[in-house]
Amino acid sequence: MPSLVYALDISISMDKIYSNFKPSKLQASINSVAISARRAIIEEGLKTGLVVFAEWAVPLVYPTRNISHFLSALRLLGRTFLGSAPGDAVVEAVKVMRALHDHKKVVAVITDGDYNMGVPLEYALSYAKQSGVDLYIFVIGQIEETQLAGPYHQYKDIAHWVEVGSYEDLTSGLVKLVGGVSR
Amino acid sequence: MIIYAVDISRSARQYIEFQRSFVTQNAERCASDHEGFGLVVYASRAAPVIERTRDPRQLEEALAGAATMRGIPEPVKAVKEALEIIFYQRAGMPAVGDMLVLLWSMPKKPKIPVSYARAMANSVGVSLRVVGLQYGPPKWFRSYRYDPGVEIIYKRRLGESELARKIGCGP
Repeated sequence: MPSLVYALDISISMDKIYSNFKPSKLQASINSVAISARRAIIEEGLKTGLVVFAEWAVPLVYPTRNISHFLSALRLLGRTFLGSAPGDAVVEAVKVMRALHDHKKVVAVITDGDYNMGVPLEYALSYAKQSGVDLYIFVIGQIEETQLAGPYHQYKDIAHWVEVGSYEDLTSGLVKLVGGVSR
Repeated sequence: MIIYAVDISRSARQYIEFQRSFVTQNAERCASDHEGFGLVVYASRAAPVIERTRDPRQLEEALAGAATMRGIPEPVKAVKEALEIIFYQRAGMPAVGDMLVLLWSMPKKPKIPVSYARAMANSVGVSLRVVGLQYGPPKWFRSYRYDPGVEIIYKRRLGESELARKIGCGP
């Protein structure tokens, strides 16, 4: 059975509005994650986890098929924090899947690309690849305008990079990913 | 299994001997109910010390040095380390009755919300007991209007025997 872990950026920059990510990028992303996690757990039976990150990264939900645990953890979110360490988040997400004997493991990072601390993303991407984890990075806005532009150009082929310009893009991207993972 | 997370921050220096004896006695009391014990130490960082032992004396020996670490204690980092131990010892399937006992000196507001600890433990199906090493909620709870989001059992309010009874050996 496949498993999926979301890595959600809860850094201060996610507090802002972008396009129709309202009332903030974070709140809209939480909604998108909730919609796709419902589909992943209830309809597809995927083990689904959640890592949140700012200057630190924490596995808030270890991969589970319990939707109420997942949604109640999402309800804890809303506050944002200093710093942004997506590399740490990728490492934590890969680590929580280490003990699972699932044939397919996928991590979906959701970030606005404000990247300023922690484990360099380059190493985290390599760790995910070496661990056999498929990595999708959903970037709110244009990658070229973010601090992820460097790693993106250098490691285009290691991860699947997805630019999302609207709330609908993110939601449908995540839902599509769930469909792809379970197939 | 039971994992103990011991606060070794400088602010917990006065509680280290208590934590050592509490952990050892609790493990001895629970030895027949549990297959093993683990130990994590933490301050602003956390580290696993014992992944699994059946001998409560090993916990006591590991804490004998009474070393401390700089930084404000971050309980969520300790919970993360402890759950990693349980998660891997159980190959991703924690057993009913697995428990995490977190001891916390509560000197200042941690950077990571303590409420996350509950969600993390729930998702793995591990019961979480948080022992506050103070008499009651510290002043900074009021000044930040801090809601820890977890039940805290205050050691100094209860006394040692009542505390031991309240922590017990599992759900």
